[in-house]
Parts: sequence; C-alpha cells; structure tokens
Amino acid sequence: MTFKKIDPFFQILTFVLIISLTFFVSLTESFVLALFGVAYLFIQGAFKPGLKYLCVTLLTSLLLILILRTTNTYIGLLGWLITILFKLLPTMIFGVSLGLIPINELRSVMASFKIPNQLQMALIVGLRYFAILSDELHEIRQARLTHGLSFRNPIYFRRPLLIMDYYLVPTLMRTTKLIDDLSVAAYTEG
Amino acid sequence: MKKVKKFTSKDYVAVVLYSVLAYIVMAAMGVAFSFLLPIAWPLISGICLLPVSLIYLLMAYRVGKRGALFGFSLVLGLIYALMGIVIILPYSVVLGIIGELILGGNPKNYRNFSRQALAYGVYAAGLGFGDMFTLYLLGQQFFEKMKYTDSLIDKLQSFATNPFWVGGNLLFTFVLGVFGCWISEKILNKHFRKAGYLDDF
Repeated sequence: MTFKKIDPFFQILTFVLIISLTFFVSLTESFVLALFGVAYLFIQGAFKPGLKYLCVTLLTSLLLILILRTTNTYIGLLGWLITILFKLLPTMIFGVSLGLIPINELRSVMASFKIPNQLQMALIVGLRYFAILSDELHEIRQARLTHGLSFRNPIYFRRPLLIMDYYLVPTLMRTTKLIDDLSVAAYTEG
Repeated sequence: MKKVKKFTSKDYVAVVLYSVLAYIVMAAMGVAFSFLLPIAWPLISGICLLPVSLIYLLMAYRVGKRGALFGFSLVLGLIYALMGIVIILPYSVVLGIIGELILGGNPKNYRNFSRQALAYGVYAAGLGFGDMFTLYLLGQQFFEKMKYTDSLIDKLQSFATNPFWVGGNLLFTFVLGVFGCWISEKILNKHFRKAGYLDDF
C-alpha cells in the first residue's frame, strides 16, 4: 500500500509538539488531539490504522462517559485505565504516523536535529516497537496454542509462575533477536 | 578484545526496547490485578514488578555497563510522564541514580547477580512507592483528574496514611523484586544461556 508523503521534518516536529501538549492537556483536549491524529492518518492514506484508532478513540470515550456515571467502586476502577489510555492515544496515533516514514529518511531528519547517531536507531525502534510487538505476540500466541497452552489451561492456576516461562520468555527471545538484528543494521548502515 | 565501556547503538536500542516491554508487562499486570486496588493497593506494585525482574536482569546482563538501570528508569519515567503523571519523571531519575550508586561503578558488579538483585529490589521498592508519593505530593485532586471514584480515593488515602501499609508496600515490593530476580536468574540460565543469548556477556 502506498501512502501520501508528508515531509518527514514536519512529521517529527508535529510529533514533538503533540508529545509536549500531552503533558498539559485535559481529557477533552486529549480526545481532540486523538481525532486530529486520526485525521492525520487518513490524510496520509493510512485508512486501516486510521479506522482502527478512530474506533478505539470513540469506544474509550463512550466507556469513560459510562464509567463516570457509575457509583460502583469496582466498575469505577476502570476509570483510571481508560484515562491513561486516553492520555497515551495521541502519542500512539502520531507514533503510527511516524512509522509510515522510511527509516533512512527518519534518520536523516534526526541527524539534521543533531541527535547523536547511537540514539537515532533506539528512538526509531522504540516508536515502532508497539506495532512490531503486536505482530510478535500474535505469532507467539499461535505457537502456544499449537502446544495446547491457551490461557484457560488450568496449569497456570496451579503454577502461576509458568506464565513467565510461556509468555514472557518467548517475547523476550524475540525482542533480543530484534535488538541483535537492529544493531547489525545500525553498524552496517543497512 | 578491548571491552567498550561507553554505550553503543546496540545498548541504546536494548535499553529502550526492554524498558518499553517492561512498561507493557507492568501495565498488563496492573490491569489484571486492579481488582485489588480497594483491598490491598500497596501490594499491587510488588506483584506487577515481579515479572519485570526477568526483563530487567536480561537487559542488565546484556548491556553490562554503567547507566543501564538509569536508562531503564528514565524511559519508564518518560512513559509515565506521557500518561499525565509528570512528577514520576524526576522521581524516576532519582531512583535511577540511587540504583546506579548501589551498583557502585565497578564493571564486575553489572553482571553480578547479588548486586543486580539488590539494586533492582531497591529500585522496585522506590517505583512501587511512586503511587503513594504522587498522592502525598499532588493530593486528592490528581486522582480525581484520573477519574478515580470518591470512595476509592478515600480508601487509597487511608492506605497512604497508615504506616503499616506504607512500610508493607516498601518491604513487600523489595522482597518480591529480589525474589523475582532469583527466579529470573534460574529462567535466564535455563533458556537464555542455553540458547546462547548470554554467551558473549
């Protein structure tokens, strides 16, 4: 799929601006920023992620309205979760938008900002990691299911620490492999 | 081969990715155990930070340089700041510095299990105390902004003003942090050393 190109320099400036705003905005303003991010994705032609985040934004705002009306303590617990998600949404959406820029272009813009060479790859990968991780987790889940280790398996209730073995270890293995591959790429500029 | 003491690109990537993963695990654990908030709020941080010890220890062994714990703490602080809890950023910086002081600057300590477990235990206890610290510093208004219900805020405040629960929070998180490192060391030996991921370190 091809995306409409927005100048990477402008994209990074927008991202930095959005992150700075995130520290100070209220929930309503956060909602507006998230919608702005969705529109930004649509302008770039990224319709699938745009639609996904539009649904997430609308769903979370609906949930928040419902939670605010409840007097039940346990349902009220969801309030802070949704609030945190709401606060992070603009950063996540604009992070997806940055992910549409080819790595070499991002690095050249970062170099023009005088960001140290060693830090550039870490920042780029950190921003894209959420998207990479969701693909990795999907594959790990498939592999686990073929071994009959679904989360409903009673073994997890008898020995909860096995969750670390079956969930965390494969994720860490893949992350470690990713780090090794990326460091080779960084050293060889490839 | 001469050992490089300064951070390389690989170390930066490792610290950022492992920290982001640690945040995701902490958030998932926080969601799973949020039902404990009104009953035993001070204990949740220890439970959340137990599996994170595996991520931390792997990162610490692979990077093995001064600044890994500080970087880990800084990235987590930045994520919390983005969530709206800006006060946790300077708090994390201080925690990272304390952790680095415990590790002591001797290159051997960065791959020494006891030192790392102690540093992580103290760091975890500090991070776990972060919620109460936020409540002391910013008061009820902050939790109201985060859409906590009034009855929940009252319960959290009663925990935060009770010395038993405050001490319990620090002790429980420290013990679970060290215990987590002990389990993690076994898991690392079982899986990661066998797979050759820690061979060169």
